[in-house]
This record gives sequence, structure tokens and C-alpha cells, in this order.
Amino acid sequence: MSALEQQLEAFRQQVTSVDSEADLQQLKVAFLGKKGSVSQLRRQMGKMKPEERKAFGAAFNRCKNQIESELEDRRKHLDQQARLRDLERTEDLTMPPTRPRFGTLHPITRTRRELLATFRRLGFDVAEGPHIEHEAYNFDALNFQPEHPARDEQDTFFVRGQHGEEGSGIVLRTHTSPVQIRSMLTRQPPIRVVAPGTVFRRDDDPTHSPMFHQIEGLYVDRDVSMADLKATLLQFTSAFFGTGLDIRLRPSFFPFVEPGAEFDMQCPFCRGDGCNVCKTTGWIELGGSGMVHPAVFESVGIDPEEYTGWAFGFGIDRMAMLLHGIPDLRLMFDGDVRFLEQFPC
Amino acid sequence: MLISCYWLNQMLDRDEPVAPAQISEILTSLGLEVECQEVHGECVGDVIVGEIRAKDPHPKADRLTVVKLFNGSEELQVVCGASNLPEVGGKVAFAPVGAVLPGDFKIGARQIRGVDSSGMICSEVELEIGHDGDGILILPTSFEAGVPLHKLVPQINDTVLELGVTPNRPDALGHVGVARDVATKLGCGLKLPELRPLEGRSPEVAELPELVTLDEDAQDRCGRYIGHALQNVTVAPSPLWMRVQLHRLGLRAINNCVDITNYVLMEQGQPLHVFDRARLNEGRVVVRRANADEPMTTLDDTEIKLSAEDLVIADAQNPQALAGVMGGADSMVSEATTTILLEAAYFNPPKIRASARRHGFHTDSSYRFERGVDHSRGLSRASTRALNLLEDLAGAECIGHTEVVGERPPAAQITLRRSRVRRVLGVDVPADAAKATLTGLGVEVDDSNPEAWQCVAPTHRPDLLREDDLVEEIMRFYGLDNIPAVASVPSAPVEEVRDPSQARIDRVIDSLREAGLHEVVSMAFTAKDKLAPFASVTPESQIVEVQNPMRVQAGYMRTHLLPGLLDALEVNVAHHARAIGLFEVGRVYAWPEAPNAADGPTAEVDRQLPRESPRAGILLCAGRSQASGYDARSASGTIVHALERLGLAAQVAASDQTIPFLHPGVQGRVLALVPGGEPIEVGVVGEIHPDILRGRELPDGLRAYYAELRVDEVPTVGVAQATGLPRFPATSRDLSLEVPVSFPAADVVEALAQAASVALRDEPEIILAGDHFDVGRRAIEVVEDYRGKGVDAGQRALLLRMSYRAPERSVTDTEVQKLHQKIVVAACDLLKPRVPTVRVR
Repeated sequence: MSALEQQLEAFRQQVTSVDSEADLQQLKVAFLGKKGSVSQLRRQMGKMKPEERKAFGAAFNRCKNQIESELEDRRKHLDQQARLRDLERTEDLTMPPTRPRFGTLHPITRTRRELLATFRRLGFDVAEGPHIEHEAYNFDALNFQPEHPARDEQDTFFVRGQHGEEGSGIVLRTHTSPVQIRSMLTRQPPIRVVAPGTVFRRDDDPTHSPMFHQIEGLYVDRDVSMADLKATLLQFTSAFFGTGLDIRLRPSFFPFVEPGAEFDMQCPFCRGDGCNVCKTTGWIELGGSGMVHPAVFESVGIDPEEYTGWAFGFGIDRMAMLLHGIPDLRLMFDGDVRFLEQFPC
Repeated sequence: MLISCYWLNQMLDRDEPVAPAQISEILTSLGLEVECQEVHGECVGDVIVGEIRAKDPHPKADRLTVVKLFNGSEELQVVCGASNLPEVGGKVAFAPVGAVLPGDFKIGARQIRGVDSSGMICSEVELEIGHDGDGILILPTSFEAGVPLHKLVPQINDTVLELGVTPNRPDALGHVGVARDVATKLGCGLKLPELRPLEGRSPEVAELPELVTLDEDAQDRCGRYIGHALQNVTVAPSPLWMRVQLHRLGLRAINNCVDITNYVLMEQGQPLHVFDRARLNEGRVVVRRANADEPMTTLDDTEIKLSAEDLVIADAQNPQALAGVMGGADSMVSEATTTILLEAAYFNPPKIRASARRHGFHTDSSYRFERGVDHSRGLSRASTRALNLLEDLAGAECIGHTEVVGERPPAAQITLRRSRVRRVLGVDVPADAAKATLTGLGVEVDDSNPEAWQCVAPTHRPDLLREDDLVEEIMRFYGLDNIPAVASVPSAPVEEVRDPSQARIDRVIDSLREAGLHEVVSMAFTAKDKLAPFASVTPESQIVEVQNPMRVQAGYMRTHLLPGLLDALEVNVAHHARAIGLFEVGRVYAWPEAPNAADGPTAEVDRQLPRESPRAGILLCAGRSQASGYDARSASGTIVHALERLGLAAQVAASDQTIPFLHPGVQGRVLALVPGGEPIEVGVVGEIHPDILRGRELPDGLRAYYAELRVDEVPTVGVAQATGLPRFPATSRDLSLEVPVSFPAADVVEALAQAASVALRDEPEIILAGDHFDVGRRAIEVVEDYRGKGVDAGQRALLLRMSYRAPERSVTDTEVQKLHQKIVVAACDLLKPRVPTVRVR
């Protein structure tokens, strides 16, 4: 057996017991490295005769190639073994999952956004106004006459003046309707806006909160009519709750509209058949509406002979309660995480 | 307003009564919404008139009487415990065996203390037709025995509707007004009670001008006053039909005089008053303004001090009624009364409202006067109606009358264009239907010009003032269901006013939700003491105060979001052991130091208003949970994250312990970094001051963290702009700097950044670069804050990492090393004046 064959034999004895990449590398160095035992044999070539040298050279290369090939085989074997071992791992994914903490939007925010998205699709711009408002806009310009009982219906919070004085004329706005006034003062017809926002009334029971949220729609243009109001309310309920639900208007009174009407929608839960939500009437009362009162137009300098308009308004909180089946209004303002977590999407 | 269907039907000129369900439907369709209804009298259908034929004491019980009672066909034995049994021949209400009285009370044949009793003699209360439960109901002797009681007193069987009457419809606060609407809808006539006016009576009743005087300075407060003087009045209980009618409408029967005024009030919607004329000084009244501080005792025994703004009905000396609001105790009708003065008046609505509010009264009378009663025919009618009833039911004899007139609104003359009806309603209402509606309601219509009707509004409808008011009346009766839904198209593009602040608020909300927090909405008002910790930020003089809060704890508008979030924290800690991560985005309110700078058409109003500023507040607290991961740095991380989601780089700077509501050692100011500009402070962050938490209902030692973003002060950033990715790798160098624990890391980073910007001037090809290409300060990272072995107490070793890059080539180790050393040395030099002990480890 030649020295090369002996080395090959020695290598083969060792390579089968190697079981890591690092050891494999070490083995390669031991045989084929600069000072490796096979590489050492190559030095003998210098002392050989030319004809021997050729044969040795060929044998040396064969031996070196063989070792390299077998190293590679071993590497592949180890790799395969590692792969099989890896595949043997198991993890029980039926264990409780590790979730990122999820945050939630308040149902009022969620509902307001959905309402705004719907009204934007219907061509409305969004307007806002101050929560603390002057009676001039909250009442006077909206055709609430001084000392008229219509003002009592609003259960107004009055605000002291900056120096604590009463009778400042400043109130917590009792509705979003002052935004109608602001919109008509700052925009040119055609005006088509919705105004969502916080409003305040002195009222506190399971279905009333002293602070709540309304959304108000206003459309002012040439030849806007009650028929158009009805069509738009129907467009809204269809876009928001789905098509096929009828709406109904009932005459009512709000000082800033004439004629005025309450508007009801067929109950989206029972589709008019009667259920708990609609108290078996098949209808849900949504809010108030009507044609902008000529006196309101006059107060903002719009000629009621040239333009007509309509307005409507309803409660966002009530809508949120309806959509999410919230049983008690006060849950909305307590900030209890156990309540808030119920609105993940 | 309660409406009796029975009474209403009496006023409709038609053969058959209208069923309550139909009345209800009609009223709701006309805008007189029926809120609820109650059916009465169904249970007393079996109750008949019984005649007492004999009365014998009960053999075993002193208080019981054994009655022989005739039921129309036979005599029955009935045991009765009442003390007011009438004499033989008297009539009573009798529930025979088999009757079922209200409350599912079944009448059976019984033995009472050993004596057979076949049926029961009933009281008003047992029949639910009155308030008197002390004794049995005694019927007029004219009632025929055996006849069902409800046939003789039809008011017993009734459906009562509760109407939600809107403030524009004073006429609907009486049955006549409601009947007028129903009659118009049904196209039938209105049948009003027949009257016997004084005119034309023989002998003539004298005009007594001295009975009522109207002062000159009260003309604006009293539009009309009709007075009747009556004598020989017998004050007694009212007849049963009237008592039942009043009872059905929720009114307590008192005596005929008072009941008649209430009855006419409910019938005509006109408040009336009766004075005991004998108790009026000189037997006359003066309608005048009160003297300031003049005392008066109202008939509910309240002593009030009048104002010179109040209108009173006085006798020759003292006020006897607060006009339109409440009568006085002195001249109240009593059982001894024999002469009365009957008042029917029209008082100025706003003045009555002011007066009622001034004294905290809200009466049936003020309720109607402040809405406006009919000062013309309706007033005369009500006055005569009451007069007639007093004559019929109290034996009164009118001995004189007078009338004074002050200022009252003229009847509105309105031109109604047919084109306007079409324009407002979007539909053509047939002319005859429109005219029938208007005339039915009492509007005088002259349609000689078919396109422009000349109309005069009736005085019972003070709400009909202009053209569109008549359009509404036409709409009410035409029916909103008959108006088609037809959408119009805007005549021009609708202007869109872009308001970036709402979009920004929405983005803040989204980023905080994304950070795993729950959004809360809390009340905008709070208690004053909850705002005290913010006094040095928002002084008390700037707090906006509610004049009439519902609770003292809700009397002030919030100046910060923290109090509301702490309220929510209390709720959460009390109820569960979850981690609490909350946020609120809402407005805070304060009076500005100088008036709001405002322009545009609303400026004049806006300058008078407090300032409202949008804020985002974040509250983190482990609560009672074991592992929440919430600490001061997660609070700063959340707010920095929110700013980053607005497209801004952000950092937290040291606060110098100046934020009063945060822990002095755990607080910072949040800076938004604007490319190429100075950092802008937009919020604060830190641990909530322990003193504030101690003042709350929270467990001892609880820590909670707060961050606040002043959303309106956050600079606006344009659309995110992309840059190419670096082609050459960056090289980083670490350094460890030892500084005192109290020295802010941000200041160390700042010193390094300053030193780097100087040093890099000499190396124009190299930049400081982090993950984000070209974003300067992010390239200096604080990797570790080491305290402990090898570092003195009170000191810390900050491990910092700086990255260098040349955009156009690879950087070499040698040049980076040299540059880095230079920067470190320069930075230490910058820090030394503030931190003499600073050293590189």
C-alpha cells in the first residue's frame, strides 16, 4: 500500500465519525491543509525521477480529489441529517397564541368616521365649529327668539364670562346647528356640508348624557326642496345601512327649519318587521330635518328668494349604540377597558 | 299634553266617533306626536247605579252597615263599611257579583262577619275615576238604578293620548286646537260648545269699568283682560262628569270654581283665574308692574319677592297674582267664597316666560301664556265658556263685566305663492286641497289671484307668520308620505374647504390605536380641584366656568386631558386587573390671555369665545397586572411614535423639573424635529406626579405614565419623499461615556451631534448616517445605560454607537477611526463645563 493509499485509508477511518461542520473543516485541514498529511507527501515529488513523478502526481491528485469528494459527501450527509433533525421538531400551535397588543377606536370615533365617509361619497364637505359658542349662533341666528320656550327644550349650559360674570351670552353649544350658520357665513352656495361634533345639554339619565355627539347636514342651492331632502336621506340610509330600507318623515318643529320634520328609518335589524331594537314598531327614530327657515337665511345674508336649502341632524352616540348594540349610554364615557376592548375592528 | 279621545270626538261634527287608533295615527302624521296612550274604564263596565233601599247596622260590627240595595231589578243584601252612605233613596256605584274592578279585583258573593254580601259599593278610587278614596262615590239621585254607570258618565270610558306638543303650537294645548287639526284632516266641521254670551241678555249685565284697570306701563305686558264679577256663587264639588273628565287628564278635582277654570283650560287651552272678590281690596283688580321687592304669597304658599319686571294682578293695594304664572294665597277661592272675579287674559309671552323663570315657577298657566294664547276670539270664547259653566254649575250670577286692551300682535297678513309651495316641497299640491287645509285651520284665504293668495293667519296660531309657515301647514295635511324622493343636482361644483387639522387628528388617533392603546371619550367638564395641579400651566383665571352645571364636580371646562384619563384609570383599577393603556384625543378649553385673533365673517363672535385646542393624551398604567410592559419609556415611545406617524422625527428633551403635574425626576419635553429648522416643543411626557395619584381613589404606590401632544402645534409635513438607498456600507464606532445618572442622555447625544457637525466640515465626503439615509441625529444611538460594577454610584456609562458613511465610496477604517476620535474629544470638551466628571471609558 502506497503512502497515499495509507493516508486515504486513514482519512476514511476518520471521516465517518465526523459529525459537525467544524470537525469536517478540521479534518480537511489535517489532510489537505498546507501542513496536512497528504500535502506533506507532495514534497516527496521533488526527489522523484521524472517518470515516477508523473505517476505520483496523478495518484496524488486522485487521492486529493477522492478526499475532497468524500468530504463533500460527508458534508451532504451531515446536512441531510441536520435537516431531518430539524424536521423532527414540533411545536404545539394550539397553545394560546402570543398576540401583539391591539388598540381600539372608541365606538363614537368609529361611527363618526363611517358616517363621514358615507357623506363624503354623497358629495358633502366636512365642517366644524367651536364647542363653546355664542348665543348669537347657537340661538339667535337660528331663529330662536329671545325668551321663546323653544330655548327651554335645549336645556342649555351657560358659560360665565372671562371674569366670572353671568349673562356673557356664551353657552356650551346645544347642537351642531351653529355650524350651519358658520358654514353659510364663510362659504358660497352651493353649500353641502356635514358637521359632526360634541354638544352639551343639561340632561343625565340612562339614555341622555350631558355631553353627546351629533352630526348635522346642510345643503343650500337654487331650488333645493323637501323632495330632495327625502331623496338624500334615503341615499344616506341606503349607503350606510344597505338598500331597501324605507324612510319616513313626520312633521315636527325646530325653529331653524320651516317646514320641519322628524325622520325615521325602517329598522335595519328586522327590516321593518318589528324587533327589540325598534321596540316592535319597525321604525327607528333618527333625528330632525327640514327646509332652512327663511329667517335663518336672512340672518346670514343669503336671499331666501334666490336660494333654498335643507338641513338634518341626528345623534352619533345613538347611532353607535344602535350599530353596536350598546345597552347603556354611560358605558361610552366611563373608559372601562373591558368595554373598549369589545370594538377591535 | 293629555288629550281625551272622548272629549275630542265631542268636538268633531260627524255621526260616528273616530276610533282612538285613527286619532292617534292622524295626530302623529300631523306632527302632534302621540307619545303614549292609556285606555281607561274598561274594567268598570259592569258597575251599575244602585239605590239604597234600607240600611241596618251589622249585627257583629259597629262600623259595617247591611244595605238593601236595588240594582234595577231586584234588592240585594250588601255589606258596606263606608261612613258616608247616603240615606235611603240615595244612589251609589255598585259592582255586582262577577264584576272585575281595576287591579284584577274580582267581586264574588261573600260573607262579611257572618252576613251575606252580594257585591260591593265602590269609591272613586276603586273605579279609578277620581282621587277620593275616603268614602264611597255618591251619585246624583237622578241616576236610574240598574243603568251601567258609564252610560250616564261617558267620560269613564276613554282613551287618553299623551301628545308631545312642540313649542310652536300653543293651540294644541287645548282640546279645541287639537280637534281643529283632526277635523281639518278628516274634512269635517268643528263643533264647539254652545255659548250664552252676555250680549243681548235681558236684563242687561252692567259694564263695570272700575273692575279692571290696566296701568300705562303694563300695556306691553298685558294685551287684553276680560273681567267678570259674579255673585251668589255656591262653592261645592263639581258634577261627576267634570270630575271624571279632569281625572282622566291627570287633574285633581277641587271645587266647582277651580275645576271650571281647569276644565276650560283643557278645553280651550286658555288659562283662567278666579279671585275671591270679597277678599280683593275695593273688589277690583289693577294690572300693573310690581314694585321692586314687593312681597307676595302664591297659592302654593311660597313667599316671593317681586321684581319691577314682573306683571301682577293687584287689588287696590297688594298683588293678588303673579300674572299668567300663579295666583296669590290671599284671594284664593275657598268654601266661604260667594263672589268672584273671573279673569281671562292675554299676557305677553316672553315677559311671562321671564317672570316664571325668575321665580322658578313652571305652571300649566305659564306654560301656555309663554307660548302665546289666542288673544282674540279664543279668549272671548274661553271667558264666556267659564262664565256659563259657573252660572250652570255654581249658581253664579254675573253682575258686571269689563275689558281692557293693551298691546297685542296684529293678525299676520301673508301672501302665499303657489310657486313657493312647489319650490319648497318639490311637489304640486292641488289648489283645492291647499285651500281646504288653510281654511280648516282658520286661515282666511283670498284666492282671487290664483298664483298669489292673500291670507290672514288666525290669532290662535301665533306661529303662522310668513309664507313658509303656510307651506308647512299645507305639507302637514297633504302628507309627507306623498312627497316624492327626488334628488336634485348641485347647480355648481360644491366648494371643498380642506381643513388639515382634522386629518392630522385622525392620524394621531390611528397611531395611538396602532400602539395598542384604547381610545376613551371623557366629559369635557370636570371639577375645579382636578384642574388645580395645572394651575401654573393654565392659571385659574383662564379656566372656563359653567354657570349652571348639573353637578359641582362638573362645573369647569377641562384645561387638560389628564383629569379625564385619571377618572378612567380609577374606573379600570377598581374593576379589573388588566393593564391599562388609554388615550383620548379631544379639545381643551381656556380663556386666552388676549382675545382670539380671528378674521373672516365670524370674527366678531369668535373674538368673544374661549380658545379650544386639540390635544392627545396618553395614559399608561400597569394597574394590578403583573407584566404590562408599561413604563416611562413606553410612554415616551408612544408619543414619539405618534409624531413619527405624522412624518416627523421626534425626541424627548430634559424638562428641568418644570412640569408640575409630572414626577420631578421622571419627566421630559417632547420635541418635533423639523428638517432644517429648530426643534419645536409639542408635548410633555413622564410619570404622573405621585401627589396627584394620592388624591385619587387608587392603590398606594401605583405608578402611571402620561404623555400629551399639543396636536395643533405639531408642524405640518408634506407628502413623504423617497431617497435612493446607500450604495456603500456604513461603519460604526462605539464609545462608552461616563456621566452622572442625572445628566440627560439627550444632552450627551446633542454634544456628539454638535461635535460631529463641526468635525465633518473638514471631511465633506463623509456623513453621519443611521438606518435612515441622511437623517443626522438618528445616526447616534444610545445602546445601553449601564450602572453597577465598575461604575461609581451616581454615575452611569452610556454606550453610544455612531455610524459613518461616504455616499460615493467606501470609508476606510483609518479615516473613520481618526474622525471618530476627534468627535469624541470635541464632544467631551463641550460637555465638560456642565459635567466636569465626564470621561471616556
